Amino acid sequence: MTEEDTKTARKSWRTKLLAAVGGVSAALLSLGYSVSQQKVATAVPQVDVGTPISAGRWTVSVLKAQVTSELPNGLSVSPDKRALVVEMSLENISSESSNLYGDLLVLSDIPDLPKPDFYLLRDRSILWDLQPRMPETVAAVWEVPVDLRLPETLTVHVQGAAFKPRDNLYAAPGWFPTGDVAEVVFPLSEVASGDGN
Amino acid sequence: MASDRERKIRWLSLASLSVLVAAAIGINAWRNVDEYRHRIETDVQPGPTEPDYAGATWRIAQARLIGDGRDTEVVLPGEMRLVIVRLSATATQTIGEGWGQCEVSLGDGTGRRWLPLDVVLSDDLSRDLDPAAEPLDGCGITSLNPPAANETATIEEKFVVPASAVLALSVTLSVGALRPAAIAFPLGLDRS
Amino acid sequence: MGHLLRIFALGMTALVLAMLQTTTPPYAMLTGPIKTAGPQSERVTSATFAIDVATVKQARVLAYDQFGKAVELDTSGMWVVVSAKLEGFRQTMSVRAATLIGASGRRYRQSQRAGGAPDVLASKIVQPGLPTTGLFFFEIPEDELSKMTLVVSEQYDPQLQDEISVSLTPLPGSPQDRLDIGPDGI
Repeated sequence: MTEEDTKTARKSWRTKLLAAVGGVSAALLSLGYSVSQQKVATAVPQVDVGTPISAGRWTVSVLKAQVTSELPNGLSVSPDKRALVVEMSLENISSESSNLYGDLLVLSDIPDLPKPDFYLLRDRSILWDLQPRMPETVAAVWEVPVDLRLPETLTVHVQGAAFKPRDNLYAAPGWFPTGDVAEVVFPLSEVASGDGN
Repeated sequence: MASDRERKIRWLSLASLSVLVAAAIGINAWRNVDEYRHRIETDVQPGPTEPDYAGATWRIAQARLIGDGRDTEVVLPGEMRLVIVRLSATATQTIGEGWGQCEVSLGDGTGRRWLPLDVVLSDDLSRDLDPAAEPLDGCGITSLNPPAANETATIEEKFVVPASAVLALSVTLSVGALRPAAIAFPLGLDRS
Repeated sequence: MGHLLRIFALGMTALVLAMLQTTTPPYAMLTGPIKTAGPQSERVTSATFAIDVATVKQARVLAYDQFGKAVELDTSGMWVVVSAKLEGFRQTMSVRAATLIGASGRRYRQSQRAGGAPDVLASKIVQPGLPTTGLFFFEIPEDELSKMTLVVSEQYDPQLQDEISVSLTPLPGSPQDRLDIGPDGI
């Protein structure tokens, strides 16, 4: 083996070592990050009914929940369905009108829920945009099959969103989900049919 | 130290990068231009009175001007006029999906372009003008069920235009697959 | 010597890359709207359409008939109703997007709550050569009323399309309690 060859071999060995150290540390970092994320996720604050929760784009205070056969707009739910209605005060604190409140609340106790419809109680009609700094009382309605067993206490997970002035892909401003920010647990009252709310 | 051969390959790959990037941009641009060409009508054929286009011979069957009180008693406010155009197409071959993304528009030669009224409004107007007759379909609906070879279909489109443009109007028709090629007919409406 | 040179080259490369990154214009700006601006007293004209803002009114309650049924809409802030004339130049179009920028800079899109009102401009079709009049409806907090700009375009978030901004003259005096919208507007 010449001196030149020894040099080359040593160099290639060093390169391999460096690559291995890099790869392992990247894996460890990512593992640590996801573990810490898990830890944060379990530490979601429990919030009382009626307390304002700041969820990024929205400030929401959950007011009450009930099961009924009448929709907030006065129409009846189809006979094989019941409506699970969660009333809340909702304020858009972003800088522009928005209707992106569909993913704000998650009911983790009840599996396979469709997306809720939102109603504006002021008009007793479908909710469209919420204007910035104009809080409204609104109702989120999940239509569930009549025979679905509903829990007596409902757990509502409020989903947060964070604003990024420049996102990673298009350098455009936007809101990005940050997961659970609060948890509200409260009794689910049943309303006799025809009683409305 | 890297051998001469290695160094040569390294330079070659670096140099080829510029060619590849240029090629990628070129192909992408060409695709976009091609797609854009299928949305515009630049090659309008005002030529023969019964041109061959999209597997049929076309002619203008009727052009009505409504709103000045002459064609019907309807008088529309101000400059507003309703123009109804009927085009007849006799299929010379099997058309199939050849009329897909069909577009009809009116132009006045100065670059202004009027698009047809939507289906619901168009049918409502047809029933108002002639309650007894079944409204004729527009180009879009007819393209889903085009005439068989040697059969004739008549399509109708309605437009709202200003009275001052009526004299100069011509109708242009094109289908997605053949754009930017299109055919055009002067309407020959008089305004007085 | 060779080492120093190499480190210097590396630093320079990093610097150039950082400069390129910070000066890259965002995608939203490259493909943004083509803007035109003017005051309410003038007709503001872009290449494809023009707008004339005639009157702006404020009220606490909006009232109109829809399908023969009386509708009354209240608000926690103020209703702002803009009556305007649109004219298209090139091709049949609609001006579906209207936003009111308030004194704080927040953007209030036209209210869909009043979507059933008579004469809503956003649902009209604008034909070249046929000016079209109608109304835009907004719901806005009272402290935003002191300085407002109306922004209109064919659709929201226009890309490489015309967008016209009209700075509105400050509203005089106190608002009406109730604004009735008849078939002929306000």
